Amino acid sequence: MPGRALFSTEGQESGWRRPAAAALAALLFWLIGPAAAAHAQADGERTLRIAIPKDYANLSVYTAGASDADPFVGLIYDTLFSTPYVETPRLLLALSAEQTSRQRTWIVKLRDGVTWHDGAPFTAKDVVFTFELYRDGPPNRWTHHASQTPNMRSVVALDDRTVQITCAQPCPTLADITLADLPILPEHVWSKVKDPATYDGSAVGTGPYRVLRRVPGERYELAANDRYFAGRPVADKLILSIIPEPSSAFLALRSGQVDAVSSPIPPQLVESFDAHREVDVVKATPFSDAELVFNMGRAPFDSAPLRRAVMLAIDKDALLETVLLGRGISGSEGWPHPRSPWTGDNPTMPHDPAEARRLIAQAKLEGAEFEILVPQQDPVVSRATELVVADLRAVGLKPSIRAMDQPSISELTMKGEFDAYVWGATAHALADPTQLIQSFNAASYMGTYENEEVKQLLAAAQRVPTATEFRSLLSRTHALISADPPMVPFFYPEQRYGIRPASFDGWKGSPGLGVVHKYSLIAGPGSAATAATSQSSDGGSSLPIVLIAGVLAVLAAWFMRRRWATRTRG
Amino acid sequence: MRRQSRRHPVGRRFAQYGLLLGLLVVGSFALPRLAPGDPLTYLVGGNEAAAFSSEERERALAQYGLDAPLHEQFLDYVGGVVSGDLGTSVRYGATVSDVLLDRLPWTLLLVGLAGVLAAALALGAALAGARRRGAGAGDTDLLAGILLLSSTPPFFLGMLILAIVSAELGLLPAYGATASGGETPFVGVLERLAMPLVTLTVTMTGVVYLIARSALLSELTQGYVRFARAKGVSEQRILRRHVLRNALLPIVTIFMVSLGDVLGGAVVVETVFAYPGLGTAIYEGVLARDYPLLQGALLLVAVVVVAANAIADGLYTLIDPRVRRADGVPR
Repeated sequence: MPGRALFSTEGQESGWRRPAAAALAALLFWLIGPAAAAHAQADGERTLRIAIPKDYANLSVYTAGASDADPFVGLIYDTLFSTPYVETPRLLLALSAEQTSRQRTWIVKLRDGVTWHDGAPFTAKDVVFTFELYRDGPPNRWTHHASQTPNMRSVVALDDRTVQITCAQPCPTLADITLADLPILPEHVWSKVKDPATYDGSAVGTGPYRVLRRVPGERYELAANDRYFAGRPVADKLILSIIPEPSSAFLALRSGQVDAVSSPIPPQLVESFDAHREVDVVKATPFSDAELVFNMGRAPFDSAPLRRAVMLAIDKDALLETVLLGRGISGSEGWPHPRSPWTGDNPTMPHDPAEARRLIAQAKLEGAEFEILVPQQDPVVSRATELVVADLRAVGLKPSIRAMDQPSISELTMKGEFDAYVWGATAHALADPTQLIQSFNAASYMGTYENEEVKQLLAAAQRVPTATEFRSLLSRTHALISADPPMVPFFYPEQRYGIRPASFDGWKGSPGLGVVHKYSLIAGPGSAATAATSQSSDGGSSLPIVLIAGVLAVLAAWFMRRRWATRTRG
Repeated sequence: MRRQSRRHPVGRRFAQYGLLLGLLVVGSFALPRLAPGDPLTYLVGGNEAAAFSSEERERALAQYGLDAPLHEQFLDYVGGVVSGDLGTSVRYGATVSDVLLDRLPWTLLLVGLAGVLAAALALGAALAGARRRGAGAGDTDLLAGILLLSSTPPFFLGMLILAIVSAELGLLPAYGATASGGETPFVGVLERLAMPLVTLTVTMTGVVYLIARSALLSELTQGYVRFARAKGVSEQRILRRHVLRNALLPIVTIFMVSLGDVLGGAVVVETVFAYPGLGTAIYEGVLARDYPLLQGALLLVAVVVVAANAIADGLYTLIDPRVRRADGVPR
């Protein structure tokens, strides 16, 4: 039998047994040893490894998901202006944007010499195509900022470098907000896509990084776009590793297997990271919150005095101290986010349980029962809600908590089948005034807010020709909303992000975006950002692998020699 | 008809499996839709979805054929199952078949290896325990140890292993399934498989061990064992050649039945170790209410479990001659 022949005891075959043992040992070393050695080496190129919380499909604007994908989509795609959450957005793909005397029309000049990742030139046609696709194509997260607030009636390319945008109403914040929010797509790619929602080809943008490889469910490998027009990418390669469980992501950061985590550090872990020698903590204002939203379309929260009573009953300062250990801004500073450039001088939302009791008694709503829906996957929000329930019980109300997953809460809120719910609003909701107008105009629960003065102010804000007038109307709206709240903010967290400075020390906290975003990852003129050769590896120590390889090889050689010796003797 | 079906037990069994698969197709379609919510929340976010006009909602759902009446969606789904087109995933924008094919190999590797290791460990421990029944270190201590480990929640066990082996000792990578550079693919896969494999194996071992131990102890009281001992057959030979063979039937049954639970456990283990298997895809599909992905994944998992049971049915006839006779299969 051929199998037996290998271990034959016949003398003429014994000459190649030793080489066979050596070959087996070599094979094991080839499989394990050299790999381990390579594993121990630094990459030799500037590679940054970043933990991200989920798979954002192909990072394209139709499949990446909601606004939580913005920082990662922004690595690939550019907007005409930079982030919408700052006082004065920087020019990005645009060279200038001017509102004409007709007030509804803007002339946008585009940057020359910009190319897409595939080498095609960026032109005005791309801008026209993108805005028309958002407005008329399959809806996505940007649709209502082209179709409703504002309503882009026409987008016309005047030449290769000039676009004329005409809104249905005056749109003074078009450049500062809308054009800073909508990513621009390549016309030559997307015009061939029949169904954008099911496009799973490679994402082609003008951004500082291009997609090199996508391993579904596991990671994205991005390479620097060496022709990037707005600064030099600080890393040759970015590896965005998908680690859904936050605890696992922070363990990987501690052990140096990633250089940064895009999710904020939970408040209770901040001190341990502060004390860590190799990990730095970078602060950022994410423009997020935890807030209680009322259903104003039905009892009991169709009662404005009750809503105000709830606002007064909640001790927002205590919530901040207890739940966030003081790291953030108290909800008592009003709504929306107090540090947003679009927020006026907010009247506060004070804590006054005595006044709350008086309002409840006046409205004859003592002992009012209602249910608060809470997202079960968010421990911070859940803990805050437990404390809020205690505050509300102290003023004579009878709230109860129902924990559900987010899609279930959304289903009930869209149908209006709820009393109140808690959620964490993002920058898009808290620092983008066009989204505020959009929300109050919606045919959903927020549309049931019966405050005529607010409605008139928001309607007027859509007609004013200048940003100054818009800001003034907005400020008056915020004041009215704080007095007659459709929602009560608990707190605005000041997030801390974990990074390893030895790998890269140029992380910048950007309002609304955290620290992992393109503005951290490009070095503009005068930027202090530096990228060291990556010292992290996505593996552990090579020592055990080398040891295992050695032991296995020795054992294999010993076993084969022993077996041959036994058979030879036999 | 009844007489004919008696003559063809294999055909009857296939008919049963066919009926079961039909029910699974209905179940996999209905289950995701019974949960509250729809994919819009994922696509644009809860607050933005609430700001959509009804016309925009319809247009968004129409992209995935989810605006059609339920019966039309069901017929589309059945037609797709027959033709191999499971639709497009809302969560990933790719065809469901592609998403499942990307993920399935990793889950099969993890669950398959964990199953083999758990079975080997459980049988080895059960044999050792049966040989030293009642002895402290050989049996009761072993029983207590395995029960303790197996009853540890997989999330906790996984995090513990991760914290010690990866974060503290730096021996193995904490996440993923493949290396992103520097290593040969083979080593990269092995390194990343090790910790999830150990976690899943430990959680699987307990159930199989308990059944195996009980079946072995029960067989040890049989007359043929006494007879063999009287003949002077060694205890090891009695256990391996006689007792183990007779005890295999319940062990195979519980092993195959518990595969469904193991796939459930794999969801947790894959999440802890960021392992890109079917479990994490299902988890993300649930959060996104990705009906096409969920119905495809549920159907696939159900088919795997049914196939495992079919294999168990086939193994019975090999293991136990009495089953062969009952089924009318010639010896």
